[in-house]
Amino acid sequence: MSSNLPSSREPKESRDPKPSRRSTSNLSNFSVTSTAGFSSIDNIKSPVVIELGARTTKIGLAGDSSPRSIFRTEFVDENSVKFTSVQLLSPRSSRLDPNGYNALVKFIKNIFDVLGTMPKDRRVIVLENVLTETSFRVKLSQIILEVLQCPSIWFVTSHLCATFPFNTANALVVDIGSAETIILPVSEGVTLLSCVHVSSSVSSLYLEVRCDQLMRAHGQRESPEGVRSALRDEDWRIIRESNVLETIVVSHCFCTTRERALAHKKPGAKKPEPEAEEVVLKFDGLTLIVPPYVREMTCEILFDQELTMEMGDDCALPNLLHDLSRKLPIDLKRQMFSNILVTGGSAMFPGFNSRLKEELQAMADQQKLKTADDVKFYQFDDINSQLYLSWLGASMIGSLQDVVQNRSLTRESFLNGGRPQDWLDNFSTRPYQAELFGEKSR
Amino acid sequence: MATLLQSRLVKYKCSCDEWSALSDLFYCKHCRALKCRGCSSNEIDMLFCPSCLENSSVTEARLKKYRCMSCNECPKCGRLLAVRTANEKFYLVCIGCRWTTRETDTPDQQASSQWPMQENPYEEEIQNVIEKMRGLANIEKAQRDQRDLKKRPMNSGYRLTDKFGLQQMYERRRKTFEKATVDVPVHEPVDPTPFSLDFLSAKPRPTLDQIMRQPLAGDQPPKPVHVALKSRKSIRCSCQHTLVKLEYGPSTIKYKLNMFARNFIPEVRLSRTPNLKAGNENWVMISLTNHTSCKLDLTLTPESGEGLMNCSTGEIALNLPFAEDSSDLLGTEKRSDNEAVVFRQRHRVGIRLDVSQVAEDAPPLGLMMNLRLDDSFIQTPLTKNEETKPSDEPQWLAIPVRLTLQDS
Repeated sequence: MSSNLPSSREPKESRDPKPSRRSTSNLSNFSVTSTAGFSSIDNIKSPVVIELGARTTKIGLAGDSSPRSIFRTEFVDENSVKFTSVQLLSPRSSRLDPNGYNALVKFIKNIFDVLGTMPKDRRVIVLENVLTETSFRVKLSQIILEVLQCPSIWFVTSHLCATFPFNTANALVVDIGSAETIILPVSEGVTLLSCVHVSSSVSSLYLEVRCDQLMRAHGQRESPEGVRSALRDEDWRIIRESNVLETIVVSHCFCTTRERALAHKKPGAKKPEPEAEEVVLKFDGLTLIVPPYVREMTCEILFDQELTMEMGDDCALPNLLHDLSRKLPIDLKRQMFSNILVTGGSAMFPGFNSRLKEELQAMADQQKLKTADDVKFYQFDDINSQLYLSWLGASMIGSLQDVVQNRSLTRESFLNGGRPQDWLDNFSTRPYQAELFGEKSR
Repeated sequence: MATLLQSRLVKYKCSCDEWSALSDLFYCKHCRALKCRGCSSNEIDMLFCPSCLENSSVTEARLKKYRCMSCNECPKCGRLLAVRTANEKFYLVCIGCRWTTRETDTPDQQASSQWPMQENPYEEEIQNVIEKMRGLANIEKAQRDQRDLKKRPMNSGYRLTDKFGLQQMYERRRKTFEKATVDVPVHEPVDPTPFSLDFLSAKPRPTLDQIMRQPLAGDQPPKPVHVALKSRKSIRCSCQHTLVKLEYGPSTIKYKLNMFARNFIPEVRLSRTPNLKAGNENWVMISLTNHTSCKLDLTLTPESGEGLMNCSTGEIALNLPFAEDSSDLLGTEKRSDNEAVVFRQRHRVGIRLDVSQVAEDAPPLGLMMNLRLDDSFIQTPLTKNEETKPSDEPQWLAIPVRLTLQDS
């Protein structure tokens, strides 16, 4: 098949052990597959794809259909000092605290150890969200290219990558992460950066805060004799240490219907039937009762504007989407609502998509809009794809050697002062920058 | 006090300016410098299963998705699963949480290995999309090459004789242009799954850790997780010389080559816990041990300066015999080479350093160890170039050492 053309052609040229004996003076002009400058890089080995999430890091080799390994973005160094993802991934940590930088170096080294490959062998593809600070990107390039001596690095946009597995060019990508939600429409394969919407209240961090509040109000403990009482301070210590709140949120909460949620909210109203079952959890000798109300109402923070306003001044998800739709070009408004793509580990709740649809339509009805008539979602059933959808997309595009080769920043150019392309580099500021700094355009 | 307990207290300066414990350092005799893990590189020595210690080649590992086929972990708690037999068939049990494969839809197996793995049900669809993307990439590449070609005047003579296989290349290129990309349908957006009363049940869904362990399981019953292979690494200096390499075989503990700094640099320890009081009358007892296999000439100079403990002891010149040296079997005997030397015991000397402490918190004590290198073990490269010959002048290696006096 012609599909493996590039793979069969390039390695031969790049791996030719002997320099060509014939005169290359004429020929080199015609060498359409010239790999000059890349000849030292082994192109057959598939690149390493890394997604550094605020909670989980996904790693693997390009071309795989699921990440090789997913683990928490945490690092414990040899002195048993624990570095959280905030310390590791903050661009500021290197300035304030050299240990943060060292820990990040070790963390990234560990990624290659887990994959069982050597950094020098493979190109690296890093997924980043659109809000990544330039300083962090430079820091990461420095670690990967200079310290670990990888041949090249390519930063890809996680929102764009999330559309690849569905083979779609149009999607309203809603990435509900651990620290924040970023919504970015992709139209005909182009990210509409002017329409980006961000909310930090819609995140698993705030879901846990909400769960904490509800558990403090409604949660109970059970003594060995079966007597139930309110939670004590030492119980909360166990809850914090064993990360119980995350367990409750991830494996016991669900998104209820709008009707049931309103019934719960209205004071004095009859509780919705049938009631959810209560959950009994056992941790370190503590028997914890998670009441149905907590299970059902924790996720409300994603949809209820009043709750998000209480937590901060951010918007809830339906409001964010409707705000964003106002900014969109008129042709895209309806189209985007029927092409919603929800990704991110915090979107794995059962009933999430259907509730979002309900809320969007209810809000559209209130405002007499017709944009939300046909709300549809891109989804893969049966696999928890939300957690690694962007990774999967990057793995797909990373398996195309030529694409990676042309878009990567090589080690040589980084050492000669080249920097990873910034978002705005391809826009109109480019000539302006060139004028300003006398910079030679790439 | 064992080295283990003092590794936080006594730090040596690596050639990359990082401070590390002696046990974490390596010595490269070609660079004549200390190297730590930060400034050396790793090389994958072999891939092996951490549970059954079976090694596998890289190609083999790639086929098995870098997992061991015979060892399995519990999808619930991550412990190793035990194999049990019933009616000449095998099933797996977790000794920790009592999860068994019999709870799930995985039937008992004829063999104890080769348990089914979670597969991505969308694998084929994804591969089709990659195929389509590859077609698009080819078009992009062809266009770029075309653009590059147009810039140059073309000599069509080359096309007539296909001496360099150019005609073939052109043909291929032409085909790329002709070929329409594979048309792969979009994975259509769908109406969401409606709310169901199943959500209300108390049956737990997988926790985040369980999802991370088996991301493809979704709501399906979990399958045993094959143990991920681990890699054993050899350590290389930046000058490409190997520093540490184990013998072949995953279970071996013998080194083929080990350049641990401990084998080249004497070890400094605090021989007594320093008892520091405000004032001038303080002392710190340290011991210096020669673990190398040759006699060492060295000088120890306390450093004073900002952020360092003020030390009034002058330079101490020492001569340390090696451990197996039988010339000095007479036991503890104080020698008058320097009054700072408190005792000598074969390859170990005790040194008393006079320090003054003014402030409450004790700053670290800085020492500069100047070591005369014994290069006799380095093989002289057989080169004709006269300049590269090692000179007869003794080479000295300066290693700054920091001792933390107050254990926090």
